[in-house]
Order: sequence, then C-alpha cells, then structure tokens
Amino acid sequence: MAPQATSIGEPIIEIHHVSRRYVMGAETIHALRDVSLTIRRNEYVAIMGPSGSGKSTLMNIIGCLDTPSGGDYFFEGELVSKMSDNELAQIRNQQIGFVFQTFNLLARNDAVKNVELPLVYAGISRQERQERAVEALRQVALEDRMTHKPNELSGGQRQRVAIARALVTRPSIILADEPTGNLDTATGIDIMRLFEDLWRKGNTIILVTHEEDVARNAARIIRVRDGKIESDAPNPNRIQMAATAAPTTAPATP
Amino acid sequence: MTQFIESIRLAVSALVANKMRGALTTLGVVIGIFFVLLMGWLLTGLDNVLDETLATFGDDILYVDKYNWAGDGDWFENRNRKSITFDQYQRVHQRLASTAEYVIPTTRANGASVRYGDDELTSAVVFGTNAEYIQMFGGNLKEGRFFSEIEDQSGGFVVVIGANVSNSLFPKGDAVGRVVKIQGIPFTVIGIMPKRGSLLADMVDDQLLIPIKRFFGLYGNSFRVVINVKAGGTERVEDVRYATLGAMREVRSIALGERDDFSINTQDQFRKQSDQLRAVVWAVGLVMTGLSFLVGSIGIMNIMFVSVVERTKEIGIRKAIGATRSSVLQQFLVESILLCLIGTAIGVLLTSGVAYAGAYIAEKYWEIDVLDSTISVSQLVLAVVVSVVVGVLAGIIPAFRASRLDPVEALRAE
Repeated sequence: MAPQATSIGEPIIEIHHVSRRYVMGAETIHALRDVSLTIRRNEYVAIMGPSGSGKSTLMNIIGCLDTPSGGDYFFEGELVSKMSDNELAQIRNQQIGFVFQTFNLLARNDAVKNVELPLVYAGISRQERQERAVEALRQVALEDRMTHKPNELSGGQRQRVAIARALVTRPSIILADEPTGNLDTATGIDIMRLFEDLWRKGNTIILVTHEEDVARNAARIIRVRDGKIESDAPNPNRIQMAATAAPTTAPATP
Repeated sequence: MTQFIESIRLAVSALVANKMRGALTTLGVVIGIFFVLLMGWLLTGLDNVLDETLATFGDDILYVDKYNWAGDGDWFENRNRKSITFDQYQRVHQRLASTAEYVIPTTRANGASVRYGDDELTSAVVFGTNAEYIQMFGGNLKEGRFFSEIEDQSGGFVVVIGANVSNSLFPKGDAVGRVVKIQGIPFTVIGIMPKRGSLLADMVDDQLLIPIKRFFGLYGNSFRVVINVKAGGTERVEDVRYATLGAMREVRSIALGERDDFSINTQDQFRKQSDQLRAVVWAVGLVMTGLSFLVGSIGIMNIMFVSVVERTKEIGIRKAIGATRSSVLQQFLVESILLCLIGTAIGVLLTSGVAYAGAYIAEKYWEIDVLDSTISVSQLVLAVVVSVVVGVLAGIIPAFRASRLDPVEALRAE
C-alpha cells in the first residue's frame, strides 16, 4: 500500500446489512442486498461496478439522497437511515460534498455564486459565504475564474468549480460520481490529481466509477455486482499522482 | 433570513431570465389590479359627489314636497297629489316657528327666458325664495348681496344669479348692478352665487333667485312650493320631523287614519339611494376584478408549473447540496408572489396614469372637480395585499410539488 500523508482515523460511514428494493408495478427490484461496509476518516475509496450493479444506489444511500429499505446506516455515529427529510437535507448540506459527472452547476450563477450555494442553505452570512467560496476556489486553483459563468468555463474548470462547491462546507466526505466521465483524458488526469491532493490534505474521498483507470487512483476498491459487494480490498496497484500546482492551504477537513 | 433574501434574489434572476414570459403571465394580474384600483378611484369620486351633494342638502334640513324625492312609493300617486301652496307654507311656518330654526319656501320654474341685451339664455332656472334662504344654507355670495326682507315683502324686481348665468351673460364679470329681463320683465342683478359644480342635481349654477312674491307675480300662484325646514341640529331632526308632520296634516286637513298626501324628504333617503348605487358599482367591479384575478392566477399557476418542470434538475441539485423542502417551497412561492407584485406595479402605474389624466380632463372640460388625481394609499395597500394573496394561492401547488421532488429522480432529469 502506498504511503499517505495522514493516517486513517475513526469510522465515518458504517453500513450494516443494508438493502434497497424498488417496487415497479408487480415486480420488486433488489438494487442492494445485505451490504455492509465501513469507511474511515481520510480513506480514499473507489466503489466500482458495471451499470446496473447497484453502485449508484449505494452512492445515493451513502450520500443521504436515498434511504435504505432495510439495515442500518450510521454516519459519524448517527443513524441516518431513520432520519427525516429535513435532517437528511442537513447532513447532505454539512457533511457531504457531492461531485457529479455532469458537474451540475447552476447555469445562471457565476463560479463564486455556485460555490456559495451550500452555504446559503446552511444559513451563513453573505460576507462569510463569499470569503469561504473564494478560499475554496483558490484550493482548486480557479481564483482567476471567479466571476465566470459555467458556459464560460472549460469542462475541467467546471468540474473544479463543482469540487470547490463540495469542499466549501468542509464536509466529512467528498462523494464523486464518475467525476471524469465527461472529460477528456488529460483533463481527467488533472481532476484525479486534484482529488489526490485533497486526500493528502486529510479529506475522505469516495469515488464511484466503472472505469478501472479511475479506480486505480484509490487506496481501497469496493467492487459491487448484482447488488452485493463482490470484493473489498486495498488497491495494490495504486497509481500515485504527482503533486499538482495548486497552492497548498489548510486541510478542508478540520 | 439569509435564505429568504436568497429566495428573492433567485426569483428575480429567474424572472429576468424569462422576461417576456413573465410579462405575459402578469397580464391577468395587471388587468385585475387595474380594475380594482379604477373601481376604488371611481367610488372615491362618487363618494365626493355624494358628500358634496349631501352637504348642500344639509343634514338637518327636511324638504316637504308633494313628491317623494327618493322615488319611493307610486310616482303617479305622488303626481296626483295637490301641490303645496304658498298659503299652506305660511300656515306651516306659523306652527313651526318655535320648533324649527328656519322654515323657508322655495319654488322653481325651468326653461325660463332670460335676456341681457341681445344675449338670451333659454335653459335657466328661475328660483323663488325668501331672504332667509342664504342664511339657512350658511352660504356667502361670491359677489354683491342677497335680497332683503323688505324686498321679500314688497316682491322687489331684484335677482341673485348663479355662476353659469353670470359667465354666460356677463363674461367680463360685471354683472352686479346690470338689468336682465326675465320673461320680458327687467330685474336688477344684486348678487352672484358661488360656483357649485355641474355634477350636483340642484343646478344652482344655472339659477336666478328672485323673491318668491315676485316669482308668483311672474308665474302665477299655482306653482308648487317646497317647504324647507331646518331643524337646527341633527339631534333635533326627529322632533322637528314629527312637528312638521303634524303641522302639514293639520294644514292639509288630513283626517285621522288617512294617508299623507305629501312627503318629508331628508338626506337619509339620498344616502340610502347612494348606498344602492355604491353597491352596484362594487358588485360590478368585484365581478370584473375577481374574473381578472382568476384568469391571472391561473396564468401564474400555469407558468409556475412550467417553471418547476423546467427546473427539475436545478431542484435536484439544490436538494443534493442541502436545500430542505421548505426552502424549495419558499423559493417558488417567492417567485410567484414576485410575479404578482410586478403585475401589481404595472397595474398601479396604469391606473395612476388614468386617474391623473381622468381628473385633469374632467376638471378642464367638464368642470368636474371631485375626481382625485392620485390613487389613495389605502387602495395601494389593498392592491399589494390582494396580489400577495393571489401569488400565494397561484404558487402554492406548483411550489409544493417542487418541494416534494425526490432528489435522485430530479437529478436524473435533463
């Protein structure tokens, strides 16, 4: 296993015998069956699987966008599988930073406004929002693109804005769903370098992907198939990215 | 609070992004607000007319006539009654002398011929009364003096003219002291009445007031007399009314159990009539306003549904990064209210323009000075309240639907 800057800490995510069923008409689809896993602070985990394997469902549950049909899910020791809509919204807002394949930025807002958005829902004052958004954009080396709208940015820059938005609340985990899926190879490598960098600064990163090349960056790979965990092991072939040019600042995780 | 400010900012940017659509959507609200304010404006004008009219009638004056002025009862029966004569007036006057403040006879002849030199008026109204008339209405003259008791007694050939008569015959304003011919007989102008405005039914501006004795000299004794009884304070009206009723029945020799063959008219009757008129204006206005707001709110609801569907992905993103149901609900509700408020603002501007122009034109061309040139603050407040309510009602269902969207589903939308 490759050396890391910080050590693995206490469990953040504990999933015990979680299942997820969808009822579609007369048919019941078992997207997840009896899945258990633990992810600790400052891990770098890739969740892999072909489409239809249940990895998206698992990601939605980890990300508190969806709740399991059975089993228990503890996030930072709290049982989230029984939480109300509002409590889940609060967890998503403060503990989880999402990075999506299609970036999911708001087209009418510039970079700073996009990054500020989670802080709006956290009820943070305008001035503090702005300061923290600027700081987050600096972490992804986008300080010269702050007032650009998404359509004035390249794909890689958009994904950096999305990563800054994920970082700005100083979440417990960064949950990235195919973060390089819409990018060319070179830009994809850039983004993976950024994740590496964030990990080294102490962040916990969960990548969801179907690409071996992307998964190879992670220190641990969980393979999902037919709604079950097929394997869960450290990644012996980890590619260690060279450090980026991004200026180093304090870790996003306290 | 932060979120609320943010909701407003978001709503503004969403509306700015769809200016044309927003403008068209608010049309219904614009029309609704336009009607409600226009109605309020007209009613204020109407109230002003009524107040002025009622003020000129005086709130403690009874008008005894063979006709019921408010149009109650059978008009033909009214018409067939015997007119009140000057002799009857005098006898009533005697009986009420200690009860009422003033008891004054008036009589009028329409369509009199009035000449000054070669100029002739044909639509003038000759009005016979006595010297106390001007005191009873507490009125001052614009110029000159009213006729005296001596002129009353002697039936002098003197006349006090209304403002329109003065303007028509003496455009230079030098009426006092001139001699006009009424029905071919010369009268000296001794005073000019102040202008009253053309909306009032009594046509004071077109009147020529002469001593009542002279009136009978001109037109004969058979003209219908109206007895004006001023109670001397509203608290005395009922007593005086009762006394007047008794005096009239006695003078007119009405046996016990027989019906009155005269009417005692008061301001209250006009108030009742005007209240009916107001109710009609309100009802028409409310129906029109209601319909416009119904159309307007359906338009807004429709556009809000479209907006929610178009922005499903955005809602998903917002929820993924921590928006609660209530903040999504608030966002769309604020947008809907803002749409309504924009419509209201346009409606207010439109009505203000109409009110300003309307008041100006009415004053300048028709000498109607009762219309306000601005919309009153209370009506503006009403308009804003109504539009917020419409905004909430029209926006609540789409906003609720948006707030209930499943984040996973919403994120999948394109």
